[in-house]
Amino acid sequence: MTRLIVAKVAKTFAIAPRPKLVASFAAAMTALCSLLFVCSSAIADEKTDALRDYVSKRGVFPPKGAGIHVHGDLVISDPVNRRGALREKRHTPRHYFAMLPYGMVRYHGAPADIRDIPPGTHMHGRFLSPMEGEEETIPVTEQLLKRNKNYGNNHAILLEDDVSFYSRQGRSWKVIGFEQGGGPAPRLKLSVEPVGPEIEGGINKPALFDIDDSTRIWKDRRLVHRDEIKPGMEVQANFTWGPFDSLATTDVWLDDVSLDAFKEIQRQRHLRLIRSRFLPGWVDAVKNYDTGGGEVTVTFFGGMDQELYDEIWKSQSVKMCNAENTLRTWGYHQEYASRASVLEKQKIENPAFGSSGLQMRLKVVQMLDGFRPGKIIRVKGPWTYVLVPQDEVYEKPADLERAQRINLP
Amino acid sequence: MMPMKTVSTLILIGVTLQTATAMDALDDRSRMFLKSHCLECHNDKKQEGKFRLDNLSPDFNDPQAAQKWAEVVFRINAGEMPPEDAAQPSTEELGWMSEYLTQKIRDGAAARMARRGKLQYYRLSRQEYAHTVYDLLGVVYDVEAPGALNEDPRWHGFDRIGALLSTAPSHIDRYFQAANTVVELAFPDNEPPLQKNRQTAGEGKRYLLQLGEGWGAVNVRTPGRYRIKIQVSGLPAFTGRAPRLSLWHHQRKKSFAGVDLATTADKPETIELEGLFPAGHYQIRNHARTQQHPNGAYKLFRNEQIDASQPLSSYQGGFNASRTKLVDEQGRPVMPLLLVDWVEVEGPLTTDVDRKKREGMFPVGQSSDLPSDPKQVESRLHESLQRFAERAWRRPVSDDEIERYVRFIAAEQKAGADLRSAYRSALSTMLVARSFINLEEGSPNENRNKLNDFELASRLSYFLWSSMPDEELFAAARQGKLHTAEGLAVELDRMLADPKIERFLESFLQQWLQLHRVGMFQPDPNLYPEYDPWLEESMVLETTAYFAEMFKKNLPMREAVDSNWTMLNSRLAIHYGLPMPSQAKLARVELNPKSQRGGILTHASVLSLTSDGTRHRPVHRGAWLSEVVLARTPPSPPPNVEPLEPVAADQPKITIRSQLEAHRLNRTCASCHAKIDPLGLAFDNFDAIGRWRETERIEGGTGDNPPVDASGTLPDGKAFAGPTEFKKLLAENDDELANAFLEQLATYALRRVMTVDDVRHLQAIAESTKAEEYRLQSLVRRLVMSELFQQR
Repeated sequence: MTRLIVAKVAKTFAIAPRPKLVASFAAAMTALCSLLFVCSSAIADEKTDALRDYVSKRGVFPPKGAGIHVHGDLVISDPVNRRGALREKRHTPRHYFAMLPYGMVRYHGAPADIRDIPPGTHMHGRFLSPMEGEEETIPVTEQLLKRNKNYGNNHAILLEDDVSFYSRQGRSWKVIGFEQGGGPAPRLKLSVEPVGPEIEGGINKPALFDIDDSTRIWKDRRLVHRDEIKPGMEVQANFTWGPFDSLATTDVWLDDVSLDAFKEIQRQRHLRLIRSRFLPGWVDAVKNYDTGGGEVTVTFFGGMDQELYDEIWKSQSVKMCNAENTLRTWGYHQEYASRASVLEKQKIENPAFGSSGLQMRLKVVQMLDGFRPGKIIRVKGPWTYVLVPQDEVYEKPADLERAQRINLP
Repeated sequence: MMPMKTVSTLILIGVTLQTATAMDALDDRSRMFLKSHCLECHNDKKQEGKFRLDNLSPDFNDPQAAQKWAEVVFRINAGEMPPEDAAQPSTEELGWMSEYLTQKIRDGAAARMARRGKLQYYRLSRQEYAHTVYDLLGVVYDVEAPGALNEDPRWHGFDRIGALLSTAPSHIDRYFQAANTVVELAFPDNEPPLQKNRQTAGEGKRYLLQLGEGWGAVNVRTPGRYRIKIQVSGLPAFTGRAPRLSLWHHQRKKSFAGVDLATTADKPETIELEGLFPAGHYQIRNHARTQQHPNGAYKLFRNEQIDASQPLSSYQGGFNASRTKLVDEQGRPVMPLLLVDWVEVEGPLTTDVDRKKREGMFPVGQSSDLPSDPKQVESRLHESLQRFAERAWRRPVSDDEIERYVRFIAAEQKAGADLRSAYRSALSTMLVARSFINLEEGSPNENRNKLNDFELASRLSYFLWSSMPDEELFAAARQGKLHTAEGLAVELDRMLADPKIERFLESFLQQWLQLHRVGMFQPDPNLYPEYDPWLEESMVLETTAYFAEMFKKNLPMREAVDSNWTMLNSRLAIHYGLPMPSQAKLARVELNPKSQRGGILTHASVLSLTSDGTRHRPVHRGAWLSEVVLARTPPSPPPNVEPLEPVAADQPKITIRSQLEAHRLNRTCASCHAKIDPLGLAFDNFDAIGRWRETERIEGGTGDNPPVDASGTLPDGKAFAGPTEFKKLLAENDDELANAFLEQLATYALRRVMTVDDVRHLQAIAESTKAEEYRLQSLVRRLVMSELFQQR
């Protein structure tokens, strides 16, 4: 099915699907097919309060369909703490959120970090209730909840831009043509209709998007004039807020090769980030030795690029450091990491959403205090030594204290 | 013309006659061997390899002859002789010949080493030097400090063999430095101030020490006797592993005192460590593991002052998350921890005993103390110098000998030195005199075999106390009591009861069992991550305490090799997989028969000193056991022996034993290995750091690790299935054990190698204790009371 979708997208962009491209598309799609399944099925499940209000716990990934769909422009961004806020409409209050430790971000169709998303980008998210113990992280007033109980769902398991959101679910836009809008703010509109399945939280009917000279239009990996947009083309697009709560196009991709280029650039940015910040996961179990060493069983979080999982999987020795729910580490995390050798590894079939399905039992010569069941750790694979910016890590107790709650602007 | 046969016969007779003359001292079997396999090519006519054997002197006391015989043994052991194309002796014959000549050479070597002139000097080992200056003047001199005294050479573990302890110019230089320091410390111009200070962790704070970490709270400026009090909680790990508080000398990288602890956080103990401490910085250290951080990078310090009111179980999460884990999920310490409140250091303490040692030895106080008459001054100097010399040199000293030093003082004064400095210089010079740094036995103008009273006093005190005689022993010597059985027995009893006997118990044991080799080859941390300095120290402590227990309870020698008890602390209990002892400190525990322990041979110290850091070495174990326990030194292996190859990756795993068996197919190897290997293979159930195992871990190779086979057969044909049966066989043969032990004991006491001439004495001593089951203290007593002990 995944291959079929890819083929369809390729056909839409009027280029022959190269085997490699198809394969990489397929891999990405395979990784996310469970997400697709989850989101599709969530349409029905969302009606049940149990799933909608599901409270996740340390060490346990949430069940299928937990949470709700939220969308809006990213208007507040705190990449260090992986937090931010979406604003859906001109009159709606900001929907502040924190990423769950296993929460995934995608941008341009590739794994990403909040720092990769330009403010103002229209995003889609899957938001859950706060994890146990994290109730105070995002303050929510009773008044706000009365207005819309969705504001209580403020811990994201997934956050992605439109191109990621629609393309991973096999959706694209078929160009109908351009229309000149009227009214008090007359603007040029791109008229499209959806191609592909109906999806939760998405636009499932023909739509008009603002388009002007600020819109970047990509074809054959180059910027082109909007004249290149022809009726009948199947395109992908990213959006931002427009007048009267319309959606204004920021980017339109006319072909597969252009989108792939963006995807690859983002993927490389993601690889660079994680190789210096390490792969996150949480501790499933520990066995303490009475000499200061011990064994730690870790499950890696999902949503990372497969290349990183492959590198970790091949490693016989790694380093592990502590992290908090924000995934921030402590001090010089390179040095404060404990060396570990791989004792055992296993792949979990049909892993839960948020999990990579990769589990390792590691032997460390020095147990750190944070090596406790349910706690977050980051694991360094065979990667170059890099010291991360000082403001990203916790240096002193006050840093941790300050990061306990979102810093509202 | 004479028929050829007749000529041959005459030549043969000639050769035979000559051979018979040269090799008279050899026995028939060896002569026959040489004739059959060697003389054909190494005779007066033909000297293959430029080597002639037919006229080689069998006088093994002759160094040159012995050297050539050693060459013969070497060629046999190396498989070079007889050559391949010659008639081959059986493996048994080869082995026998090699051993026969080895024994002869060893006897010769022993005789050479023991060859004595009229006057014999036995230099003090550096440990004896340290004890002697302390007992002489109450001064602590750290002989092992960098730049102090040279390390002494060892002969099969013994560092006090006179023939080896030569005195080189470098020794004299260091003795001078040492003497100056010792005298300065004993008679300073200004007494060092009494240091008494207390360091606290801070108001409402406790100093938390994680494994391997220390608090540098003790600074000893002047070496001497110190009293160090520490208020501390020692929290065992959740498994019961107890912490070891160690006073760790920062510069020397060595522990000078320590105590095992098992307390709770809310009930600290005040411990008191009093002893002799060299100068330097000391850490209060949680000594249960190496200080080296396992990550090889920054240490994740937990050495910090923590809030005394905050329970340790609350140290989880928050800012602590990136640091070493202290408590487990139930709030119990994951490892042994120390919580120190304060440390108090008091010293240097001068006891009345120490003060008394120096009485009358330094007459020069302030100038007003001295008489105005120069002759009276000279007389007082003479008197003091004599008192000093007689104690330092451990014998009566003539006026002439002292006069030289009086003149030396005068010369120094003339050169501008004040009297105190000049007098100190004289004392320093006395401490580098031959009579101080050596034990002297014999007289220059007299050929005597018996020790005089003072020599006997020194032999006795250096044997039992590793130091000079005390005043009572000197008095007994002066009164001639030591040459009466009653007088000697009285002194012996007194000396055995003196706390200084601990020096014998430690020093003799260390040298006899070669315990200096423990940790010499540090176990590979990847293969033996459990190994740590405290374990290493505990291993030696177990054996030392075991021997002390045997000595104090006067137990039979057989218990040295087989018993149902041992001395355990929590670290060793973990190492051996035995139940945790009820108390933290080292104590005697009875062993279950299934424990696989009991007797020194199953101590981790002994089992690890014969390993090489990566694996056990059965041949080394066998050679050690043969040499140390049975006093039979096996021949040295020839050079260039091919080492055992690691098991190839594509080959099935096999034990070291199996590899050795392949090695033994070589006939020249087989003869020696047949005797050595079973002694070592009997302990194959113990790995390189002395842990029990049923299978042998083999690096590389395919398949499972193979099971251990520790069975074997002794040279006398008695079979054993494993270490337990082997130990029983050894214990049953306690005649041999006692004889061998006595040989080692006498070597230590007499500071020389035992020769064939000593054998009858040793046998007589052993025989006299047989009825008492060769009890340890009895053996020591009988040796001291023997004729041998009083001989030069």
